[in-house]
Amino acid sequence: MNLATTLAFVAIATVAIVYLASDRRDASSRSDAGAIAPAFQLVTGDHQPFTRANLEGRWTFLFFGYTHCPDVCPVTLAEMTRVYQLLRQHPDAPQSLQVVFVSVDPARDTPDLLREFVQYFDPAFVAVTGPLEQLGALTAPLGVRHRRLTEQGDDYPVEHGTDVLLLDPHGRLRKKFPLPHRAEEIVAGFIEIVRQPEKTT
Amino acid sequence: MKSRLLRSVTAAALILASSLALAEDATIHVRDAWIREAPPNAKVLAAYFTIENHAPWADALTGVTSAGFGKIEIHRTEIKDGVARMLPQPELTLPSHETVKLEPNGLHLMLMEPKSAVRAGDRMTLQLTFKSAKPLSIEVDVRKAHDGAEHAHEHPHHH
Repeated sequence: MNLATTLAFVAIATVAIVYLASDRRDASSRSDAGAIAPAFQLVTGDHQPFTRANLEGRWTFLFFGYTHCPDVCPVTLAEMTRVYQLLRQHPDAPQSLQVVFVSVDPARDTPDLLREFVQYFDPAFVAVTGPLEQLGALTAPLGVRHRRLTEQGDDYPVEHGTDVLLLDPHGRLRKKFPLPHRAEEIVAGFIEIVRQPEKTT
Repeated sequence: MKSRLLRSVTAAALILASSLALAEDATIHVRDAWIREAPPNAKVLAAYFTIENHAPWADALTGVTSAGFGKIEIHRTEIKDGVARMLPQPELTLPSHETVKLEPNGLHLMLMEPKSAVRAGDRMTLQLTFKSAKPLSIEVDVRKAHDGAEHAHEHPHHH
């Protein structure tokens, strides 16, 4: 085997290994229904801790974004405002329900700024953020991706998962609502899950 | 007599010239423009509109400015595997005799560095510049989402 063949073989093997590894990571993030968020330490807009305990004993709509996002995030927030309004009038909706918007841009979204931004949509909405490694502790097991795209200046975009996640009162992921978000569809999907008998897994 | 004829010819020429100018201005039409009201502390907002190019040649929207904002960029939201990312567009191509829509979760103007809080009911002026057409000034109303604008382009759905 000459040098060129060896190098080609090594290159192909490397690509294959990287591909398989990334594929496996994707697969694990896809099959995450029923995943339980593990321990994480975040903070609310009111400077209160937001941890695994905050997901216990109530249903949670959880979604991710940042305040320098002019398009997707306000659209989802506005739609979730309607979801919350519809559920408050719905006879089958559980009383214990929270809507949580998590900023994955802690460098710019301070808790105070984030609270004002999120509570413009509904004063009951919970604003949450925290250091990147703690955000990762919450997002990675739930299969939510986020990444700051450029490092220079203050004008960087952040790419982020757009699904609205529904967690049950045990903190288990029960459903992901993908784009485009429609309040009526999210309400119907939620009510359907709430009516299901409790699974003991 | 001679001077009256000259006046008539001049007047006719002026009318012809101004109608030509109007015809040239009319190659680009902007309609259904709106800005989504954002939280008072928002650093960025989005504007949407429908833009028609009636010229027999392709054109491009090359820049947008407004006295109300420090900077305006043309952006496209790309959604891939449920992950959204914003892609700045150096210009927006406007094919001949075609309509391009800026709408939520797609193309939008990213309005940055607002000079003051922008509220529903406000009207902002945007200056659009093009590769071929003359600059165009448009008035854009600020509205809350869910007054019909957001889903106006979509098909009715059943409940």
